[in-house]
Amino acid sequence: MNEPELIKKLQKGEGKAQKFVYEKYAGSMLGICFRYLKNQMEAEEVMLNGMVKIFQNAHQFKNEGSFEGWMKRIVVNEALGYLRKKEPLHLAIEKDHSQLAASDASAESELAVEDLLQMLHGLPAGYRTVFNLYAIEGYSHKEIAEMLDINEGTSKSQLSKARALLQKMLVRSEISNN
Amino acid sequence: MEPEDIDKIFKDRLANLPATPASDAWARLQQKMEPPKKARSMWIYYTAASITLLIIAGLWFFNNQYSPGSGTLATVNKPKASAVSPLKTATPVTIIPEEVKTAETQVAQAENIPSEIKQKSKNQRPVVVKGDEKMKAPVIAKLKKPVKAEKILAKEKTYEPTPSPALVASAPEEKITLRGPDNSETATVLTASIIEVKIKRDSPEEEERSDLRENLARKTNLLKNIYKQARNLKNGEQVELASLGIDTDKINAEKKEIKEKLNKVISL
Repeated sequence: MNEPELIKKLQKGEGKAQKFVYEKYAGSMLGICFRYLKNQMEAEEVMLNGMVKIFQNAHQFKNEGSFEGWMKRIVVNEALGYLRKKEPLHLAIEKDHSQLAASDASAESELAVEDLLQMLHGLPAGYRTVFNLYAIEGYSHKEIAEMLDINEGTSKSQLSKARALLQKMLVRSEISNN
Repeated sequence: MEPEDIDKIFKDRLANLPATPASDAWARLQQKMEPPKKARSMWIYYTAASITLLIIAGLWFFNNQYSPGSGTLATVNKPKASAVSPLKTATPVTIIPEEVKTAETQVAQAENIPSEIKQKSKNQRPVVVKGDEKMKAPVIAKLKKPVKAEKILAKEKTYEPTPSPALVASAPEEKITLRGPDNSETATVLTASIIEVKIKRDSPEEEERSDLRENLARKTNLLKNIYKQARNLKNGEQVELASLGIDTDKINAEKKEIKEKLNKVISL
């Protein structure tokens, strides 16, 4: 089944196509949710809600860009909505963090995915969200500002603070590993 | 380490984070797909429930409004409340001016027949009409029409208007009898201080009312007895069950009978 065919069937609401999409993408969508939400159950809940939205709004997909990208966007939005409802993003938190420490810690060092995820989860929700959107999802500060209803400056400052915190964590893990 | 390097580390490893949803996740997803349908059916239930409620309320209201039983009961319980029963209030209220007139003419007619009244009628007429204007006028007017009269005169009516001092002074002891054109018994008795209008008619409603009275009296009696026996019980005196309408012999006989029956069943 090629993608256009699959999308057509999905738009007709065929259960078979839905099951197919679920089996193909549920894992990666859940992975996205894990980056935004610490709790596994919550992440799964958000992923399922996102899937429901994907199935119910399949007719809105206009064949602009990839279908997977469209799905990702829906799931990310779902996660943001959940975060907003559950815990305010604390985007205004202004803690003083030292500038990026000069360190030669090698980026090539083999860090386990779980460790990185844990570091990400160690960030305040606001920092984590902006870092996810900018560094991993690849949105611009302008887009992020719109999505989170903040101004671009806030988005930028949040990102730099997130980076500083993550670098500290990386250095610390580097030291403990050696 | 440049900021972009940090981004890269995380992006490379976490962009495609492998994850496996729980095995029951698909079933849960399908459950989540259903709610819209469920919501609609719930909406139907709510509508049905509210319509039923409205119908019940409407029926109840209608019954309360038009049930004849409630109307009569109201008048029976308040025999002295008003001369006119609620069912008939409309007629007297609207026709009062006319009826006052007819009342006057009737009194005038009455003047002509018994000659003995003639002398004093000039004094009394205003008293009769004014003192009783509201209550008496409709009654006399109704006497004119026998059909109507029978409806309304079912109840015994006693009027005791406040005596007028002028009357007391001028007429120490007088009796005036008024007769309507249909010869129904209307007796207006003017004594020194009291004007009485007594109208008696036999009708099923009256019987019903006397029945009710009897019933009420019996119940009050029973209540009194119960109270008395309860007091006796409290004070350690003998309790008379008979006065409460309880026949001990009968109860014992019934007990025996039941026992016998039970024994028969057991022996079978």
